[in-house]
Amino acid sequence: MSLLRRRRSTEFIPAADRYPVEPLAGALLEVTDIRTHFETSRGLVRAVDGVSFSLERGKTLGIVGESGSGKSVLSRSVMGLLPKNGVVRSGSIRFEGRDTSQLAPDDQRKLWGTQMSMVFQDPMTSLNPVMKIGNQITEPLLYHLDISKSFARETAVSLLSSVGIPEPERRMKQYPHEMSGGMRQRVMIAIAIACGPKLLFADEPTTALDVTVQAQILDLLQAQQRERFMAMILVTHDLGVVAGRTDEIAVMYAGKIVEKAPTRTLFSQMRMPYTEALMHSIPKLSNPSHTRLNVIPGRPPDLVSPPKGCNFSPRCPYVQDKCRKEEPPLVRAEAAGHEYACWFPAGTPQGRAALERNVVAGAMSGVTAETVRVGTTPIGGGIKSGTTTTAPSTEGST
Amino acid sequence: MSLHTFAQKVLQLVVVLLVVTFFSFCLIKLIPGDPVSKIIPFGTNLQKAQLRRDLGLDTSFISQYLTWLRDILTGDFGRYYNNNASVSSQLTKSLPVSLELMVYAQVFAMLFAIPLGILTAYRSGSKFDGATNTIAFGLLALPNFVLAIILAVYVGAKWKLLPTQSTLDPFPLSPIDNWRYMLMPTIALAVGQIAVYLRLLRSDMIATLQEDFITTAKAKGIPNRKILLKHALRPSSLTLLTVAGLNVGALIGGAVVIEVIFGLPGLGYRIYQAILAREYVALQSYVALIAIAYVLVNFAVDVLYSVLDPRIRHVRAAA
Repeated sequence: MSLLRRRRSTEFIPAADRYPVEPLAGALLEVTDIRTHFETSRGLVRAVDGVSFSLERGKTLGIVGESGSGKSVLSRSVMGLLPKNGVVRSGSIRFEGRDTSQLAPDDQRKLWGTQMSMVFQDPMTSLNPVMKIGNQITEPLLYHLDISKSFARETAVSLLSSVGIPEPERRMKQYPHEMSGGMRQRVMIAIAIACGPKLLFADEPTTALDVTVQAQILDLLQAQQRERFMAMILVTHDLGVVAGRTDEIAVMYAGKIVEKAPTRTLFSQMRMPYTEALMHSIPKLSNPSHTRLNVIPGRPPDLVSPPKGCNFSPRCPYVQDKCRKEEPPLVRAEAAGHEYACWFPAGTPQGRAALERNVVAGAMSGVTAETVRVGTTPIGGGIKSGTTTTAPSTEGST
Repeated sequence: MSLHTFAQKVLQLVVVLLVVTFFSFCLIKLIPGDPVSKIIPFGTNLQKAQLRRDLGLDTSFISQYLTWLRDILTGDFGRYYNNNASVSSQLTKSLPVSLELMVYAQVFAMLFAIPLGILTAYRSGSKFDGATNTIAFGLLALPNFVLAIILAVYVGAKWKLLPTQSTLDPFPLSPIDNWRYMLMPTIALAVGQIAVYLRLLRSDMIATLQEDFITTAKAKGIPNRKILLKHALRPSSLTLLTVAGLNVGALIGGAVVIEVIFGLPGLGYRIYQAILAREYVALQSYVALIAIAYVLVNFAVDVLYSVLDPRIRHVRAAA
């Protein structure tokens, strides 16, 4: 807050430029059918394959998926951080109504730091090891904003204290290796928010951190996001991380969004078996200790030659012949803003029937027993309680 | 640098010097020939025996070495056998010439290698990268004495652009004259180094550019030129520094062939003369001096590591 006041009083950036009144209408970010394919010796890797979403100002979108589902590539594609060589891209990315995917590299660079910025996964490697913390924070300030060195320094110190770093003056002179992982991630956040971006990408910001620090960092991100009215895209593999902190969640599998819904709706009425499986792979505190973790059997598909039909079909407990032949489109569910891509969605009569057929078939052949077992025991209970109890209350809540 | 590590380094220096001087002493002894018959080729056997006694050459191998070692510790580099000139007076004239050549060659090589290394790393896989590397390898395959002779023949003798022989005393100190004599030896020495330095910097730089912190810098929105120079160059320069440091030592004494070809009165040239004249004492002192330079330069490189990379400082402080 003190930062804002100082800025206004010294008038380094006219308020009208920084917070334009007019373009506030409409979504901050609109991504339509973007595809990012990498050219490799094995063939085209379809890391992101037709993803659309939009994000309002000040809102948070969670992108969830396993490793290799394309979620990190998606966030980098949207920001435009990927290299130009060997990458095939298409689709449109509209930021404040402007198509940023068509911008020249120099113009695109001008958005970085000031309009959108990113907090990366591993704070141990994301900070320059041979530069002092202070210089790493003042660098974007001095480059983007027309301010003096001493003011940039002051700003950096107050940024450090606003991200919860004690003794910011002393930390300014330290190198990254003199700090813990959590501290470094706080520094990364300070760098990312330094120039007051409107959109913050957090690319698995807590994956590399100690569990005890994870919640602190997520709380910090959330607090900063609210205070500065930034929109945030929170990328994670952990549904638990996004649960209480996002307005909307998109679940990604094999480069596609397979389910998207306002956070509460998703948790109460998940339709896509993959979302369900992710949900059940979160260990529960209420379980007795030494309970086996539920894992999703198999592995994510090869993005060079994805399976025919639904990408998740080889691992899905609900799988039917139709799933192996036709790819399900993203369709609207009954709740507002809820979309999913599944022929036999969980929690519906078709889904239950499909699952039962598989259990019977599995008992007879024994071949898919593993898949079916994982699918039935925990998921069966989840479907019923989820759909029946909380469904009505989510309407209008988001 | 704590006192402890400093003391350790000094101890290392002493051991290295003892080993180096002893082995070089052995090597020089292995050279066929005899200083006495070089000084008085037509003397009688009696005269030769007398001279041998005067020079201390009749004592045992070890005691000759120890005598020399004792003298050098008291700052006495000895004298030439044949004209009784002191080695140190010769040294004060020739060492600056060699140092000058070394500095020029290093600067010249770096001037080309650093920008080219950064650019080829940044544009790795491009046509520019391929062409630069091909040329660099070609130049690396060209021995420096071959290049020196080509330069001497064409630039010096045929086109008469630059002087080829400069065994002048005193060596010209006016900047322009000095440059005229130094340019060809510098190029001959530096060209091979350009290729080496370029390749080292390029490969380290390519690795650095893959690092996460480069992506962070990019996401800050700062231009590529700044990313390359401010973020990537420093962490990529450690290998380059190591090899450049080793080369300093090699160039001080190892430019023998180049100095001889161009007649530069540097240390290398004096070593060449001393070998031919069986000047044991002078040769021994030169070798010791080069060894000291080697060790000192590497010591300096070690210190520079921690300047370039604060993590090394940290580890040393902890140890």
